[in-house]
Amino acid sequence: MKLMNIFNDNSLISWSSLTALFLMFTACEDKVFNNDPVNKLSSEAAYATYERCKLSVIGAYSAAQQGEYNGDVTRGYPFGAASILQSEMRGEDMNLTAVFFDVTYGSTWSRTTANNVHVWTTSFAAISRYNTVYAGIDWAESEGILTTDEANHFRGELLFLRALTYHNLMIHFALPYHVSGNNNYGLPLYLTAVATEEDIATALTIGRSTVAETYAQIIKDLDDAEEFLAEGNAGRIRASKGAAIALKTRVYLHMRDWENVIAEAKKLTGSATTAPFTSSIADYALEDHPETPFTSQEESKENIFQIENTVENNPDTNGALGTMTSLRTGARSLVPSSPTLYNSTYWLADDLRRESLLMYDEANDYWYCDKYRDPQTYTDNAPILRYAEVLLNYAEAALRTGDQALALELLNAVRNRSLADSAS
Amino acid sequence: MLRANYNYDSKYYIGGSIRTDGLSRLPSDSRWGTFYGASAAWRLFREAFWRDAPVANWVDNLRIRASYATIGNSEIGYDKTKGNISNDFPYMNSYQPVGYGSSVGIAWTNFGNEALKWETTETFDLGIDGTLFNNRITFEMAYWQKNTKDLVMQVSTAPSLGIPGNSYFTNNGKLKNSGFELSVGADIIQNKTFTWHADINFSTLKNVVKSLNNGEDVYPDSYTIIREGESYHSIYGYDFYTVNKANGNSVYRKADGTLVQAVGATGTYALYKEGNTEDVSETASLNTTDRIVLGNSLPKWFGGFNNTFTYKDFDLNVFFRFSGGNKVMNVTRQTSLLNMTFSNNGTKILNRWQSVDNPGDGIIPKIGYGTTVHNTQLNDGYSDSRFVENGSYLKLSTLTLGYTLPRELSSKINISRMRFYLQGTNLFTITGYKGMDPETLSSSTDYGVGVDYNGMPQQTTFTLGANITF
Repeated sequence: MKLMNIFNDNSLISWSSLTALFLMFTACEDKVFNNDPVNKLSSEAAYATYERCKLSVIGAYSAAQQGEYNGDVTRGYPFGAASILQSEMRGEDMNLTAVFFDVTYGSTWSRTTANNVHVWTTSFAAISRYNTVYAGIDWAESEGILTTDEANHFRGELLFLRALTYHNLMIHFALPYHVSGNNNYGLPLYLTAVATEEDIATALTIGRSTVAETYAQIIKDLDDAEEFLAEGNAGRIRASKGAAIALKTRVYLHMRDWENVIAEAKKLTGSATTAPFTSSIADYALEDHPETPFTSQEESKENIFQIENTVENNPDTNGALGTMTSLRTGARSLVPSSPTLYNSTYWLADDLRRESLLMYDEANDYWYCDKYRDPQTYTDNAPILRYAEVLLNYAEAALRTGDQALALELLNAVRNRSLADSAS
Repeated sequence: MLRANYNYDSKYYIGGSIRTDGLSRLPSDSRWGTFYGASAAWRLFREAFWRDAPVANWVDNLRIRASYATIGNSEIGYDKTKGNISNDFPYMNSYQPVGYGSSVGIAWTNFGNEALKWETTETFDLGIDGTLFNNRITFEMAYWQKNTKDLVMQVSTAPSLGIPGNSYFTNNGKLKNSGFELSVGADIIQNKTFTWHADINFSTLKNVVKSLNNGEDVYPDSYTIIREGESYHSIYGYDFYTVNKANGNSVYRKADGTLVQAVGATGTYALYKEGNTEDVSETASLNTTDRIVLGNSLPKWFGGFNNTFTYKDFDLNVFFRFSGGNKVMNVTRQTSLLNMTFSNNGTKILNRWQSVDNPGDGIIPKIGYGTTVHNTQLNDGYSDSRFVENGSYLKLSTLTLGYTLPRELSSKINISRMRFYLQGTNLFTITGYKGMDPETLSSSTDYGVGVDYNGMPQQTTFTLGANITF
């Protein structure tokens, strides 16, 4: 073949192009290119300092406040507003003016109903975030970035949120504790972070726990949270020791464990047996007027824990408490009070709540709840735990264990502050 | 990086290249990839034996070529909720700012995958091209094949795992595309006053998913599927059988072949019996696992036909496009039937089942109130074979009529060339598709090819213009 002569005879050959670029950029990469993103942190960077760990814990509260609804972070699922609105619509005390909550109200939900799906997905997204931050805190403590006390405080907050979220899921997706035949239908318990493909494979093998097992985990998380968290009210928008104890009175009540309801409630009442009832752990006490916990949410001594909403960060017009329930200017006013409740004779005509916590819509003859008064900038916080509830939980447990006198004392303490004339 | 080309006597050509690329969208361990290619061509007509053959009288030029190459895909990280490549670090466990009331914190927003690596494609093609009859006809025929592996795609995770976005990027699957291309161009008529030049090109495309991780199906959305052995992003949904003439229920065929009907507005299903259509006594079920592949969303053949005519100073260009062999899930048509709550409805609702004497077109069932009816009688949110239509079409894509001013006239005003033209695009479409445009894509980026969900059709435009050369 003539190819062998190519180097000698130029007329037959032509190198049409020969370009060689041997510049190798690999060695340059580290010196010239900075490949870290400018607007994101890697997972190690997120826990690299005490300040960063604090920010990550705030991120956990953000998940509790609002997850993704149809791709946007809005509407307050699970706890920014939805847990209250959806629970109200499942009950009997509210009514409906439009079809917005029709599916919940009329119990016509299916597997794919948006409200139900989003309670589920946002709750589990929040649980995953709590577990991830927990793992980050563990790592930071092992690296000496956090002291044991600092790490434990953060752990307490995360465990409180996890217990709260699992409990809310139980209310909506499982049968109650004492119903026979429920025992295999609790929730899958995800207690560790899912960070790698192996973790996904392991997590997929976790099946549904029984109702009893799920409640046991909720109680365990709250016991640990109580131990780790400080006394004091934490601004009422963050977890505190009092919040963990108060939530336990609710959870134990659902478990029909009257003895433990009483044991926990005693921590928040100083074992008092007569009014006034106050808590030394964080200065909790009943307000004199029933509207005060709602008109001054973050200062009122009666509020134990609430989810904070602000002008910049709130469930917006399709989810906020003020928009849905209020009659004030700018509200959508979709959720009036039920006439059955309004017309009950045991709700005395001169009860202070009729005057200050309801608003009348003359055009339609509806009464609207006036607890949440900001339908325009959506800044109403979502109350989760109030001292009044602790006392009522205590009263029910006391009555069911035979202590009628104490039960009456507690019940009247809450009722009397709403009456025009406490003797009636 | 190196590229070398060599030709011997303008008869034999060979070329090769090799390159390494680094992509910051991949983790540092797998960031650099090496890709190479080689090609060869043989110009037959330059051979001595060719020049003496009688075939040289009408074949002027003939060349056989082949090539092989590997390439990497740098456009990874397509985030379907945003409709673009917004995630430049799909492999990284990343945190971003989030708010809680008056505080700002940071939260985990992307599930990281340190094992992410290059998506590579091996391409191979073999072709022959040449000219005939004194360059009056040019033609090109080629067969090509592309095998892609380690596709970077978002894989969904169970929502209960709480992974951000319920998905993460991973390498998943092997894909094979192959096809045959033919294009022919000819000066059909060449006179002093009239010429006609035509080009036609025709391509076929065969697409199949060769393998997926663990053989598991991937669901890009509720209307489509990526499954081994099927075309990528095939339409996947319920197999509709008929409307039960006795009661107006929709009847479907389950995966095991049994026929079940959706019972009115109850949300339940019952067995359908051909001989006893009133009977709804035996309960049955219909699940998402009863869905089947209803068609491929990628066209199997397509091409264009371009004609240019000139007559004295006039020129006319007519360009047709055609495509077919694909199906489109007409979600717009499906959802237009959902407003059974005395709201606006699509006109197809007039063909619904109304009574035993007026059973309608056998596609639209009896209407009812509520989302249960939408879910069971119309499969709202899922593909349903009633609404899967043939997406073939022939379009008159461009028609341009132009007139060039004669030189004698235009040079008087110091203009060397002035041409006026009237152009129309997308003038008409011949198609069996019942929607607005078989080429349409959904208005939301949540749905990809093959799903028409409120998609906007292409506009017909008319343009009047002038080309002026001074």
